[in-house]
Amino acid sequence: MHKFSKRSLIILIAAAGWIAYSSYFITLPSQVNISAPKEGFIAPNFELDSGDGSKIQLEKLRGYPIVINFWASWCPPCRAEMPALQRVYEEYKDQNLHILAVNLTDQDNKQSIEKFIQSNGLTFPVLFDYLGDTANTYRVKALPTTFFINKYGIISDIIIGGPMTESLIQSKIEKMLQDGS
Amino acid sequence: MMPVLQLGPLTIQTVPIILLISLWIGLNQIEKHASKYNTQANLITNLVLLGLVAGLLGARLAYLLVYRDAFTGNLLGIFSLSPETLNLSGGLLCGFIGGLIYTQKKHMNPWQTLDALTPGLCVMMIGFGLANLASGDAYGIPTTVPWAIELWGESRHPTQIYQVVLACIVTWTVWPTGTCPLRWKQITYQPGVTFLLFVSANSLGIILFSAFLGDITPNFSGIKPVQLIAWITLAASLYFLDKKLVED
Repeated sequence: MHKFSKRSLIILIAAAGWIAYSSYFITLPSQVNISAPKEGFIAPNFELDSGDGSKIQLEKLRGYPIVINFWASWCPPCRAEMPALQRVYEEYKDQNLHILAVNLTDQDNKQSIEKFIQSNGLTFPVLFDYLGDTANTYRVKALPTTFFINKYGIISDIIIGGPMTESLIQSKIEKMLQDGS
Repeated sequence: MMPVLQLGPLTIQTVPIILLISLWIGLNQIEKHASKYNTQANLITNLVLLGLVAGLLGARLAYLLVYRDAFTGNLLGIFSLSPETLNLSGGLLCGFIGGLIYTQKKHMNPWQTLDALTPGLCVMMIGFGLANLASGDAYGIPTTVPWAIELWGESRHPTQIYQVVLACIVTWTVWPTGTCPLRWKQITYQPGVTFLLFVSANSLGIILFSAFLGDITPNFSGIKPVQLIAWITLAASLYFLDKKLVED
């Protein structure tokens, strides 16, 4: 039977040594307490006005699967995907799914927003990011941007751009529910 | 980090653009160097394109199988252009099977074919590193080294840059017209050696830089699975490389 050459054996032993050294000495710190707008990290907290005078704080929804959709009424793909989000919300609300539609109010106007909410019959909370702070915290560079957050508050998926299809939203929610189970 | 480019009203996602440019340059390089490995450029190009189509179909089908309930009420979603509804493992498997069937049908020599694909694979590896740099994926563990970068709320090892540098070193090692002293002129063009050198060097690179990755959870008594897989791949490629050198 063919054997390894001396050179190959040295390479393999050195590589195995590095794996052993790195797994023992180069430790991986826990990301459980770090918040960042990235898959695998805790979703950054925010508190936003829901239009009727009440405020919604993300941290208070910990324990539930959450979809955060950043949108504006002038953005065509945001408008196109909103009915799909509403249908998915109807289907999953019994499983305690929360959808928060964060409107970039600093780039929008209230009249158009309210008209859009009414014409589409949106029943999930629409939140108003008056100064764009939450969008900045979440590094939203394009609209729409959607974050899927599992019940532990960890971001399981981010979809930049749209419009998302109903099946895409559903599959990401299914994955999020599996991650959080 | 720049996941999207804003050009006036147009928002362009950088990761797919970088990957497409890498694929295009990679294909060009494969065609350019195909004759050096005694292969026909058009056959290799067709193989890559067929593998890509089979891979895309397989990736979508595998995703459908995993999340079939999400698609039952909305069959049109199957044809959505969204890259988020693709399954990587399914895509790789189907792309490999599609490519294998094509090479068998066209009676292509497997080692010569793999050698001819190597310049394209090198370019794609650099492209993957740059795509990770743009998206902030494959981020490093927190560190205090002077070359650390600020990413995701911490000073971290710039693992994406390590990945690009390692891919460039691997490319320099195996490039057909390269000047790397590690290439032995008398053996480089023996069928299979170029590809096996690429796999060995790449596996070694992955073993090195994965130690600093922060987005992988260690298994197997603290060992990262990616390092273990890379070590097994390294052992297999060195075994075949040694065998080839003895044969030659």
